[in-house]
Amino acid sequence: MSGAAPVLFNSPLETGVRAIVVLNAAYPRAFDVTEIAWFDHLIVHTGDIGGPESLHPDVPQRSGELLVRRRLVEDSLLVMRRLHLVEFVPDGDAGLLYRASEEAVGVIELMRSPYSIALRERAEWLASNVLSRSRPDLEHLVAERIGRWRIEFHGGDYAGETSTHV
Amino acid sequence: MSDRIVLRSLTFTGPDKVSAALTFGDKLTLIWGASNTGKSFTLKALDFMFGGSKALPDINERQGYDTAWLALTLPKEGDVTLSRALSGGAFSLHQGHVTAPVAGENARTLQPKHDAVADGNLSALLLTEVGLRGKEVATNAFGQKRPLSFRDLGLIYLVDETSIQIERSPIEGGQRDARTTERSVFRLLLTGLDDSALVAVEDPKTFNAAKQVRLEVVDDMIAEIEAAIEAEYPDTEDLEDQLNRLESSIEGASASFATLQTSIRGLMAEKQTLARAIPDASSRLDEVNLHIDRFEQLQEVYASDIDRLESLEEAGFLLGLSAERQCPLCGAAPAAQVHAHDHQDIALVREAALVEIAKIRRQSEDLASTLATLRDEQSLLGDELPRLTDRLDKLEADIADLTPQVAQSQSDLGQIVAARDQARRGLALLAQRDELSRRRGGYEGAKATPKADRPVLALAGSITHEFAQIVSGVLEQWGFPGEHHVSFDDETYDLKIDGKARVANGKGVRAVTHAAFKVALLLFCREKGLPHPGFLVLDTPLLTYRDPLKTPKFGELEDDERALAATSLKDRFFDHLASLEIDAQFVILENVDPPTGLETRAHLEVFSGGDGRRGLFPV
Repeated sequence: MSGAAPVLFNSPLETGVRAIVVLNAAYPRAFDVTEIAWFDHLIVHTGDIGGPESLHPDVPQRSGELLVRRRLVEDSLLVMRRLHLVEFVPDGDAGLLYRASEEAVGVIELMRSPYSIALRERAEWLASNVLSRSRPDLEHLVAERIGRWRIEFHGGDYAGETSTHV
Repeated sequence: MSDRIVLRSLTFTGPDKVSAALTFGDKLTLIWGASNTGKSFTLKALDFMFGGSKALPDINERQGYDTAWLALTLPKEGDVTLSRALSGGAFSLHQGHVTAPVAGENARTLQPKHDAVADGNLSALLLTEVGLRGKEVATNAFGQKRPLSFRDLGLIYLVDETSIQIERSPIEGGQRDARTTERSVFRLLLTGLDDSALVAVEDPKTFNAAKQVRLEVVDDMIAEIEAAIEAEYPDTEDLEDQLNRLESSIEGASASFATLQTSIRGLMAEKQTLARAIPDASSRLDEVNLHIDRFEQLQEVYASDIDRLESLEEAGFLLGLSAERQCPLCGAAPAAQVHAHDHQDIALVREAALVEIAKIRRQSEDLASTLATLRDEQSLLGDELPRLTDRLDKLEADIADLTPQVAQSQSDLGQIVAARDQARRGLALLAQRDELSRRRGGYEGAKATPKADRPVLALAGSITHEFAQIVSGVLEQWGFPGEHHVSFDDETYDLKIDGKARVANGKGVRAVTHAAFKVALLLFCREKGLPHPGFLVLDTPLLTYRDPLKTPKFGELEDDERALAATSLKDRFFDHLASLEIDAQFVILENVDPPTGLETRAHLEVFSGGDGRRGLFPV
């Protein structure tokens, strides 16, 4: 349904916006790319984990989804860094982490479209209900809810499957 | 030359036997013989050789002889000989005059019995020879006919000693039921015309018997029909009206049956249509529902897409602002390029998002109108399906109601038709009965052909008169006493001589006049050129000259016989026959002394009974 170019849905911009909305809601906590990729899925599927109604229709996850999403999340974080909306937080234990910048707050508060508001609400819900969990807990939740991600991720079975714009 | 049969000789042969032969002269032959010398046997043998079926008398003299040979000269076949076993059976026809089978000759076999159609019989051959083949004679007063046989001419050419003096017409043999035939033969000879043109009428006896049979048959038929009518139709008076009533009720019943049939057919057709339409509609409704579900989902997708795009456009706008604000913070040239690139990207994304929003809105509107159409259809179908189902239920109920009505109507119609047919049959029976009664009346009223309408089997007076004149002439030639006023009596087929019936005379007179009758008949036929066998054998015509002591069987002479015997009739009889210049042959068997010198004018065969030839057979 969307045009071939430029990519709009799940574009680095859209994904980036989701990332800064989540990071902003979880401020001052910082997360690595893997976690941010999880949140990118969870924020639009909050209905699956007992939160508000999912923003996106619930379509079955496909193998390879995570890799695509992870790549997308990396690209979008790059763009957000250039726009000074995200900042690196190096961590000796956890590796490379990301955190919302001061400037992200101003931008996010100006977002008034219904979808943006819904996104912010879900980010708030995630921040207060999910993101406070420990890393193993999160992993467990994701493994439970998003089934094969973990297996796919660790098994490294990268079948070349195209993503949907979910 | 008239066609005639000429007798040449009669011979008897047998193994180790001397042949016994008798020859005949051209014109006149006198076979003179005492009593019991074979005269009568000779005549019987001639009759036998002309196809007679009577067995020959079993006289001692003929012991050892087994075959008779009759030599003839015939107009067409010429000289031939007929041979026949004395025990009877078929003839053989040999060429020439023979008294034994000719070696290598293929003698023709001729059956003694007449057959009008086939050729292989003696009668047909001889009739052909004398020109009488194919003639028909009436056998009774009603004009029934049969073909002439040569045997019918027996009395014309052969007169035995009994017939010659018997008290009846010379042309009758004394059998009552043969009389009509015999008279027909005589008429044929006198006129040359046969009875083939006669149209027969039914004789009253046969007619009445047939009438009786017809009446019985017709009565049986009537009775049968009446029994049927009685059994099935108590009231025949009303049948015609009944039929008319039934015919008109058939029209009504047919019409209502047709109407019912038409309506039930219509219902059936509609039911069939519905039976197809309902599943069609319901599957269409399923399809519509499915489409609506999908399209509603799609509308949701469109709505959420628009939301996302709006949010994206907004983010792009805000980021664009912030990026511009952030611009001075980024010093490095590659970074500036990156910035510029990102800004360009963001601007593009914003534009594209706006275009995309517009596009999706249009699609969403299209989808909305499609959905509206589908929803209309959905509600239509939703309304229609129960309506159709109700209609089907009602149809099935109607059909269930109508079916017995149709069956009833059909059986009603069938009953009326059956009643109509029954009435028709009744009327047909009545008509048959009336027709049979009408015929019966006709049969009953039918009368046998009245006498007046029977065919005329009579001789014209002019012809019988002419014949009578010839007899008169013969009697005159013979010197018969009296005026010789001869007339023919149509009732008796006999003569009146000088006003007195011929048969009213004594034996001897009857014999002479019989002889005169037969001689005159031959003369008449020759004069007129009419067919006649052309020979005449007379046994004892001169009975009146008998010696009562020698021939006691004929008794004493009566007065008229004595008067006749006193005349010279005997001599004049032979003189006359010997002097006749016609194609005819006379054979006289007698035991009176022939006139002196007769042997010069006639052929004599003498059976002396003593010296010389003793009799027919050598002893």
